[in-house]
Amino acid sequence: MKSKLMKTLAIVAVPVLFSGCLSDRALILSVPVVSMTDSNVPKGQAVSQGKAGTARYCLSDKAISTKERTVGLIDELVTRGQKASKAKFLTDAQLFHAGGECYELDFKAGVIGAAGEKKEKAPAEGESES
Amino acid sequence: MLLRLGGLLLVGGLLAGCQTVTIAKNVKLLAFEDDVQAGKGAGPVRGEDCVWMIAGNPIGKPVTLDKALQAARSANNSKGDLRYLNNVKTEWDGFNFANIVAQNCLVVKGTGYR
Repeated sequence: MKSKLMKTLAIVAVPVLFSGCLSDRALILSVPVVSMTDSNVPKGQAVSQGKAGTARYCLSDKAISTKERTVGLIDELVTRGQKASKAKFLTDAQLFHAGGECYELDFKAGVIGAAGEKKEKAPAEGESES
Repeated sequence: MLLRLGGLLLVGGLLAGCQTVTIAKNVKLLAFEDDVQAGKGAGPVRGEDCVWMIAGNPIGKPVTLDKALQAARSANNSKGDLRYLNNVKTEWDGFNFANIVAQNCLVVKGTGYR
């Protein structure tokens, strides 16, 4: 168990070691669209980019994505981002190690509209929450 | 060494929080492309990125989540790459032979859609 824990920590910490002092944040993963609530959009619809926001989670924070003992890092950050932005989808999501025990997810709130259409009115402000 | 060092950097913080953290527990949607319209199911997919360890020292590049995800995306890709995954989770796999030779793999599992 402890071995798995250390490996999980290593996978998110190694980018930090390689980036050294170049930046305060080290990119771990970048994905175009992510969601903790919806599996897809119906045919004929698309997700476009709304307001930008940042979700933050430090390992000592109380998780909101689960009440169980094991917390998913991506699960938690996406849940926080969706809650803050009131969006069903997060687009252009980038997961960073933000130093110490903290991680951040930069995103743009997803706006659902007809495929090929310009984005509609953006949802609420997608500002950070810790 | 990097793997060990990376783990040691943050293990204190995790244990202090009385909770364990995995990379992805059950992410409903993780897309490789902007197009997330309902697609054709490709069934369960699995991708991994591994590193060999000799006497506890990694040989080659450290494992990354990105490489494990790309491996999952192109699994069974005779009909083309996947557009997105549902119900994504990560776990560790591998073996350890008497602490002499070991392999650690980061495994990504989910249900693929084209």
